[in-house]
Amino acid sequence: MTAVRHRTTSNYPQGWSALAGLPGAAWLALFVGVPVVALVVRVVDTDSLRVLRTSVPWRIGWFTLWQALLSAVTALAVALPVTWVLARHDFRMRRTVRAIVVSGFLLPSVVVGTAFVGMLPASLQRTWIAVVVAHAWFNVAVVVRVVGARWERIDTGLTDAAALLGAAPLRRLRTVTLPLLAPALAAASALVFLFCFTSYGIVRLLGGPGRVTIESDIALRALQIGDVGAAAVLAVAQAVFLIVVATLSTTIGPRIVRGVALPRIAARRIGIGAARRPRIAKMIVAVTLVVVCAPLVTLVVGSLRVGSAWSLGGWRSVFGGETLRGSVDVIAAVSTSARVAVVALVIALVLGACTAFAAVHGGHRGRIGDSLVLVPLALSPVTVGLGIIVAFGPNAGNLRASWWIVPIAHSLVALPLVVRLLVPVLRAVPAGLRDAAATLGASPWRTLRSIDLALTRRALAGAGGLVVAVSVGEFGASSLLTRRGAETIPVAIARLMARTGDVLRTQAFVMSTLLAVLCIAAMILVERGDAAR
Amino acid sequence: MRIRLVMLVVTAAVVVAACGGSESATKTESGNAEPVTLTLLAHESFTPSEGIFDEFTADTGISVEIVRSTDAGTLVTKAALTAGAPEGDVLWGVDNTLLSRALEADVFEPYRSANAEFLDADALALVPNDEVTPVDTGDVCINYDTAWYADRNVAPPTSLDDLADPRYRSQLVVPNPLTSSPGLAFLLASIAKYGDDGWTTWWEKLRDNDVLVVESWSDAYYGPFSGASGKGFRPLVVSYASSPPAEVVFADPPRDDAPTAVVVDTCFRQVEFAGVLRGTKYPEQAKRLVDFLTSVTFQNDLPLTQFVYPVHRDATLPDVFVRHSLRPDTPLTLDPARIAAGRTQWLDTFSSVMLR
Repeated sequence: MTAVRHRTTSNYPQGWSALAGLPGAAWLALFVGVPVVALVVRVVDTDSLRVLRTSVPWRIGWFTLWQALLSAVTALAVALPVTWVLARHDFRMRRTVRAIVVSGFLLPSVVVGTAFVGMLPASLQRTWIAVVVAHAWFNVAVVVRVVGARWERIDTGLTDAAALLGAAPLRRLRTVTLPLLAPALAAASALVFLFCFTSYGIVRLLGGPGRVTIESDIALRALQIGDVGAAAVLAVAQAVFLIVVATLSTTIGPRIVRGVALPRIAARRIGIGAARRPRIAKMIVAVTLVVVCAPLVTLVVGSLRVGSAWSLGGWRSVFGGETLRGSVDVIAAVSTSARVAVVALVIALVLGACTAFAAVHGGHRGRIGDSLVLVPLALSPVTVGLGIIVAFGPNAGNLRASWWIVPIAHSLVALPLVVRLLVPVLRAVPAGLRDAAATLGASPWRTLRSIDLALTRRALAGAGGLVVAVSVGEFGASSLLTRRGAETIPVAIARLMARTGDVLRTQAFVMSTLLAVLCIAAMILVERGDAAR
Repeated sequence: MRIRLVMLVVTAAVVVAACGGSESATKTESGNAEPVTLTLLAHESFTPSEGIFDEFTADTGISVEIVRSTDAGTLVTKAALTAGAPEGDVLWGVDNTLLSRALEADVFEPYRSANAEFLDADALALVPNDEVTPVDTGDVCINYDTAWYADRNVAPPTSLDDLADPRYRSQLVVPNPLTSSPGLAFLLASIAKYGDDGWTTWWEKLRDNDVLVVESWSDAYYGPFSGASGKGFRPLVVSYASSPPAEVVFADPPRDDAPTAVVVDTCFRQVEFAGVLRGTKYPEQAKRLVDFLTSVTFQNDLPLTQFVYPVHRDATLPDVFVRHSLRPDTPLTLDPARIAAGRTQWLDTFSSVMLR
């Protein structure tokens, strides 16, 4: 692996390749670096810190913490049985079932929130239970992906041997499987925890008064109360906490949860009919499918009902162009989202490809952009939005009030993902091909085009799908930055859900259904690009 | 081949995006020769009669497009964040509880309406520098379900004190002042009544009396409150002094008497304003729109569409309004300067007392 990496640097002039990382680094410095500095200045400059002397942030922080822990535990509990079935059993439609189970994570938080509003009984709505249930549902996919990948690599010979020695199933689980799974379990829990900790869309739609995460309190203060100073304090505090947790989970975590390196083996699955208790496995699959699909079905059903009667009124009002009192212009929202996604796509793809290229071919200087790109990941989307609001006010050309700021924010959220996706693909391009091209007289440009670009184009398409999916579903930064009359789809859905009226609610379901389909389509592109690795 | 296709798509995408950008640019930059369309930013409750602006358009050639935001708080905060590069030309619906925030951010271009001399003097006095113009007034009060108390032969509460009385335990639902403007008005009512030292104690008593805090006014009024939809179980809610006539006007089947009534000693006066947004491309046209919003024509439309009181002296109140609405003689009020200084702190205190 190292040898290959070393060889790849030989084809392109290192200095020039490193320069390719410059645009991305500059972009991040301007739209992430400057806002972060502005936030910190805001925190130390004013009496914003007053908020820390009240009990409010501590109470909100406590709720944020325990609901995230509880959500992570619940997600594990719901997801582990089906992870086991999928990792250990073979059956017709296994791939389809897995695709359906992991599809939940592709959906925008606003869509999931809307679905749960439609599904949960009124008595549970706007309670912490609703928040935790939706979080757990959302993250089943994370557990299945992360834990499942490791479970498949555990040699069944080990458990068979334990069985032969007389260990009961539970004992085998405790002494063989769980210890081997531990690193994956820890990684999955950490991911789910971080995700739920910064949850915003779900909490906005399902949390009640006082049941807010730090993330949604930041947005509430910035957007509704107009207390930007306190919002900045909370944003900085949350960012520090997130960085500490992420660092701990990657440094100390592996030392506590010591995992054995598992050899890469072909997953050995037994036919579900041949399993010792086929009925249990089948039941787990059936129950999980029902749990996973119920909210999505609710969404579609909800879009076909107005009040308590079946009706196509929602769809007709969306496409018929009639404007309802208190409604939003659905066509306008779709076209805004499309326009924003296209701009974000171009920015993120061009900058992402350049940054990835520099990281692979530009030596250590080229990797600066690659590490900078992680910064927006550590910040939450609401913090990115708030930083832009604080940094680019009237003294900086009032950029925050411009239409362009939304796609710019989306490009920041998507950029790390694009780079993560492209770097391994670019790295995997065999250096020999480039050597051959050079030998045949191809210029570096020609080599770039006909070797690297040609071999990564599926990955590029995948990255493009990812940017589109991120952009059309993005809610945190958008909710702070969108202009009136230029709402993106998620912002429009959240506005509809905040109102009363049967038709408005139905319209929200219609838009959520549309958005869900859009995201799933975009992510199919990603999966196909991913398969090209 | 494929790569060329990708390039083509990307180029097309850029062109589409660029076109999109220029399209919106031409919309706002069209010169004075073209007919002007003003964007009127407002909150969700701004619902004038269909076609009310036709007369204005016929007289001036200026069209009006209404763009609504969810709640007054977001409306004003967003205006503050875009001060100087506004999202519209005129803003309707900043009230006395939020005005300070807008003024601090320098959101408006001062203008003294041509109708100023005919407007409610008390309301006008709130804005000595004419940053905005008062357009309507209303009162946020406790509403109660009359049938609920009649059926049980219990007297409804008559004061804020009563709400903390165990006799009215588990009966009140209020919207969260952090997210709702009537909620904020009700919080200010308690501060006006009990002062800086006493209001938190009163809320603690309310809390012990099992008051229910929900997200928004509509969540409260159409949810747990029993007087509106008949689905809820709580007979007391924070709403408007004009909610009872609204119940009569929208009653289906029609009815003569309101199903709800107002506790007059709990009312807090809300004054709403409209103003020209600083940075508008059409300041002159925007000023004419403010004049129209304060004209008798428009003011007469307010009571039955938005259930607020006009500020124009010559505006007339419809019968149903006079009969079922209630106008407290001495509503609770707070000095705008005091609201400006205290609001965020009060909200944090409320939050720590009530949303534990």
